[in-house]
Amino acid sequence: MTDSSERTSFQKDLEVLEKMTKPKDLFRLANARRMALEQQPRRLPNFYWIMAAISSCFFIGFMLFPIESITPNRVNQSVLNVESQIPQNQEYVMADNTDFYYWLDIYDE
Amino acid sequence: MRELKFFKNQPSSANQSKSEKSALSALEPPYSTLEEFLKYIERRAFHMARLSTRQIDDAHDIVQEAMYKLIEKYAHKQPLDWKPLFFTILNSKITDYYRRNSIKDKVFFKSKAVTAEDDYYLDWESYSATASGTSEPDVQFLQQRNIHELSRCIEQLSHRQKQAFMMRCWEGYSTQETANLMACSEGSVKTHYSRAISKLKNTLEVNND
Repeated sequence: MTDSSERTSFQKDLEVLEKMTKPKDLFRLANARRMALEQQPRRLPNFYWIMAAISSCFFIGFMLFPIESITPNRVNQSVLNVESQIPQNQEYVMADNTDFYYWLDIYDE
Repeated sequence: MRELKFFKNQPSSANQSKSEKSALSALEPPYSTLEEFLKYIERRAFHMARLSTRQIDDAHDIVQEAMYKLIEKYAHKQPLDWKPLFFTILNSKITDYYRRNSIKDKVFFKSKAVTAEDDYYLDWESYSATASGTSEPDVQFLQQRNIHELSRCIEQLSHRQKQAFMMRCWEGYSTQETANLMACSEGSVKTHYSRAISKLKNTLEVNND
């Protein structure tokens, strides 16, 4: 078979395929054509709806549950670290200002 | 979008000979309004998109977007320019579809399932409605089988091979016109087209055996 005859036979088959378009698809194409001619706002493809839904879920999630509450272990650890530092600081301050706490000695006696 | 180079070297109407006039009338499109053009092109565009995406719904979305874009941006152009412009838009929409799908596959780890209707478009009901009454059932059956096999083989081609095959074979564009539509060199079009044809031939021969 030559190149042109092959091409013709493929072309014939494809033209038959074109004629065999289902009525359901013809109606959808007619509707698409009408909408395009009237320049009506298009229906967004599913992909955009999915991406919009995912991003809005993330947004709502961040609004309702801030990052600190999502990771309690890290927060507790940081709180513990702060707590362990506080007494040392207080002792340090007290050691410096012993004159101010003279009145404690009265109760001890 | 690139300026298209189709039909630019037409002679002026004053100095046309009979042969030139007949050649020009052959070039004249069978449509004069946008509605007629869309009616003329919609089925072919739908099947091109369907064979490229293997999804009927997505094919409809792509065709609708291409129609919308053509009217929105290029309604003022000459009727002769509509067809190449439409196919340029359609091809870019199909390329966008492939890109979006590759992202979707990465995010969701699974592509959309192909339904039985997507997989086997031709059924007896639609075929019997279009087949001529004089054809023998055997002939009709063979023709339907050939078309189905050809569709399956086209689906297996790469995106660029599909584009080259459809533009050259289905639309009858020259290598240069196809290169303009596909935004690549003529050499690339020749390579894609010859690979597509040899792949189709091999697959169809194997299936027939």
